[in-house]
Formats: sequence, structure tokens, C-alpha cells
Amino acid sequence: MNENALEINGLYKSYCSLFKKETNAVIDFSLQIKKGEIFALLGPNGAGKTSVILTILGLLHKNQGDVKIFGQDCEKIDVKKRISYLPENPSFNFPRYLTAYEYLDLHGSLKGLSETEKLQQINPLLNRLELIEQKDKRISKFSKGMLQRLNIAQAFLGDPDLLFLDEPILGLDPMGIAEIRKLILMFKEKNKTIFINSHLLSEVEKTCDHAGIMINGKLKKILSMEELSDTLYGVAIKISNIEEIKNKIIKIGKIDGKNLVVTVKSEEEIEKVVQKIFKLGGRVTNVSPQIKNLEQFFIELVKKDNEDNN
Amino acid sequence: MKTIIKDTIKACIKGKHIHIIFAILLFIMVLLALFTPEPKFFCLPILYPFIILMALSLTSDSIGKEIRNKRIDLIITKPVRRFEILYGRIIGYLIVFLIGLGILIILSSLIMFIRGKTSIAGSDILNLFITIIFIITFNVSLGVFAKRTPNWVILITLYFFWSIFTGIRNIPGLGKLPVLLIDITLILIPPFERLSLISVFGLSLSNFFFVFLYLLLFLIISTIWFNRLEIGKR
Repeated sequence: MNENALEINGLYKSYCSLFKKETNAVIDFSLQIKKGEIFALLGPNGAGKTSVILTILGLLHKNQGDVKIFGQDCEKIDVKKRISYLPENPSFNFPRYLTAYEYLDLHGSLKGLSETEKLQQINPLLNRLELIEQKDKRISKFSKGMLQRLNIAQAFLGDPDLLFLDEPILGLDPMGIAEIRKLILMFKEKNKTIFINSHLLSEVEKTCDHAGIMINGKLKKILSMEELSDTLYGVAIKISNIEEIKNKIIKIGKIDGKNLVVTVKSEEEIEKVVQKIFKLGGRVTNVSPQIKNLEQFFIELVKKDNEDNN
Repeated sequence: MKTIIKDTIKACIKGKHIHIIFAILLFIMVLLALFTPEPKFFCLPILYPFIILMALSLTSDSIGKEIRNKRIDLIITKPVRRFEILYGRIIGYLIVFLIGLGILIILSSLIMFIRGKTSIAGSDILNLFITIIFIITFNVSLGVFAKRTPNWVILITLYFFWSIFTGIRNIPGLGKLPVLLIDITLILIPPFERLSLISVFGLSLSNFFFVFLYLLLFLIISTIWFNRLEIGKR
């Protein structure tokens, strides 16, 4: 049986204060993530992604709904032993008087790791994240990228079963991003579950199994990356004499240099379009199908939601 | 909780340089004790205000600041209960201060002994310990209410109201109702008066009981508040 690592049913979270109108950050949010899956929660700024993570982790109190991690209440100590969290923009929350090793040692102790377990895990993690040479250096002397890597090490420490990563690659250089990607995929191979909040859609496409798009507090769509890679979006047809037939083909699609870009929904449609161009006297030299990527999907959905609201 | 206590002690020693401040206090104390004609008067009691100020400034914002800079987010997501964080911080600070004070008292007594003078009164030491325990416990617990405002601002405001209300309370010819209302309000404000009474007139059972009860209630309210506090929200 494939157990659900995370199960959220009808989650509501709103913020209210004495002088401000009540705002709904999360509205009727339901989601199931299977064990061993990498799930990304996407959405524009202010969509409520961080509120979802903070409510799951018990930092914020839900107004309504049910959150279960491995079938148990998310605030139970036994559950907390199996999860880990990487907060967004962690540069302010470090105890700057500690060294990198002491910081991980502290978090290892908080996670309940024994001295032997800490010894076995901390150095390899620091090594993997290229911080081994700085392990005895005070955190106050760390750069932003180094702080992010150290925080990632903290999140992976203790071999958690479910990992919550809020903007994990923020502030990292391309090498760092590649290393984190490897670390995430290695984690997946061990049948661990990851919940990511991210704005970097191309990275999400490379690493995740599913992605949920959240707009204005609501989860609008859950996409499977496998399905997405099969979704035909359009076709780019290269025509060598495009200038000659420009006026005739302008109605079929959009002209982009020597290419005619046409929106199609099936392979049969591509054939029909190509035949039409032949009939109009066009000399087709190349036909490349355009697969819809996550970014296009995301932008379309956000635009549609804005239009619906207007 | 052990990890939180250890972290607090480490933060005190490495982050706030408490040992340097204690060393300075010790140096002043030794100088005063060696070169004044009456060391009893100049030795430890003269340092009381400094020690109290030090306890106030070092524990100020210990939890409030952690909530504001979001350091506490990571700790709460670990298998640690919220009350363990609060009590761990209090115990950590108490350990550091009581050890520091212990060293000061031992050295002070030693100097007195060498100079053949009378030792510091036991009640003085007890008063100082009670005051420090109250300040640390109260100030660290206050942090859970200081999500947006620093502790010291709340503390100064409370002290201001306490002074105002105490002043009004002492106006002759004030009606029974205003006096009753002021008395109720003064119960809610930290027992600064009782503490000053303890340090001036010594430890009476009623003062001790009042301070203890106030502290216990405040700790219970802080624990409940901290458990319900929304963390991580900007």
C-alpha cells in the first residue's frame, strides 16, 4: 500500500488583527502527497504558499480543516521527529556566535540525534555542500549563499522522511543549485518525500513529480510533470520562402523570424497545417512540435484567474 | 529541554559576552573591597543595581527577538514542545546568573575574611537571588508577548504605569472606588514595590509569597500564550 506522507483536507487559514480586515490566506486547501513523491507548490507572490507550509508545521494555527502527516496529527512529537523544514530567507535567523559545525550539532540535538549519529552525519553533509573547510568558522562571517547551504544541511540532517523546503535555491549560484538538485533526487531515491515551495519553475520541472498551482489562497490545479511533458502546445514550422508568402499565411499563426508558430492540439492538426502551407506555396524545411512547459501553463492559469476576477 | 538549556548558556557566554561583564564586576568589587575602609558596605550590595541591570538587559528580548527574527521557527518545527523552549531559556539564564553570582559572593566573602571584617548578611544574598530569579523568569516569559515590541519597551511602560498608579494611590482623600480600581490594576503590574521592599526591608513571608505567586501565575499565562502564538507570520 502506498501510504500518504501528507494529507490535507479542507484547510482554511485567515489572518485578522484589531485594525485590519480579515484576510483569507488559504481557502479550502486539500491535497494528498504519496510517500516518495516530490511535490512543488507554485503560485504568485502572496498566493498563500508559505501560509500552507507554516500551518502544516504547526507554526500557524488553522481555522478549519485537517492535516495529517504519515496518518498522524502534524503537531505530535513523533511526527516532528520524521520531518524537517528549510525556511525561506533564513539569513536573519542564525545564531551568529556559533560555528557551522556547532549550528548543525545544535539542530542535530534538537532532532534527538545521538552524538554518534551527529558525528556520522554532520561532516559528510558539510562536505557535500562544500562547507567542510568552513566548519569551524563563525556563522557571522558567512556569505548569503553559504548560509543557505548551511540551512539546507540543517534540513537534511537526521535523515527525515518528509522534508519541507521553502525556496531552497534562493541565493545559490548555478553550482549550488545543481548540488541541491542532486541532493533532492538522491533523497527521492531513498523513498523520502519532499514538499517544495518555489518560484523557479524550470527547477521544479526537473525535479518534481507533481506541482500544484495556488492562486489567491486556492489550489487551482495539480499537474503531473509526466503528463505535462506530453502536452502538445503548438508547432514551429520553418519556411525558407516565408517572406514571399507572408501575407497568405499570416492568418494561420504567428510569424517569428523564418518560423511560423501555430497553436495546435493534436498531431493530426500539424499535418493539416503543413499541407495548407504547401498549397499556399510555402517550402517547409523543418517542423518542431512545441511542448507546453510549466511556465506557460502557470502564466496561462494566473492570467485566466485574473480575467475571471475582473 | 537539555539542548535548549545548553544553547542558552552557550548564547550567554559566546554571544553576549556575559563573562566579560562578570569579570568587570568582579574587578570593581575586588578594588572596592581592598581599598575602602568598610568593605561590607562597598563590596557586594553596591553592585546590586549593576547586576539587576545586567540581568534585565541580557534576558531582554531572549524569546521576543527570536520570534521576530524567525529563529524560533526552526526550533518549533523540531521535536520540542513550546513550553520546553520557554522553560529551557529561563533555566539556562538562571544557571548562568546564579553561577556568576555565586562566584561573586564567594570571592566577596573571601575578601571580607582576609580583611577580618564581618561577612555579608545571608538575607542580603537571599534577596539578591530572589530578585534575580524574578527578573530573569519574568523578563524571559515577557518575551512571548513581545512579538512586535521589544521587551524593554513593555517593561518601561509597565514601570511607568506602576509609578503613576502608585503616585495617584497615595493622594490623600481619594475615593474608595478609585483606590479599589488602582489596587486591582497594581495587581496586574509586576510587583516592583514588593521587590523593592524585599531589597530595602528584607525578606518577609508575605512579600515572598506575593512575588512567588505573581511569578507562578505569569509563567502559566505566558506558557498558555506561547502555545497559542502564531509564529512565522510577518
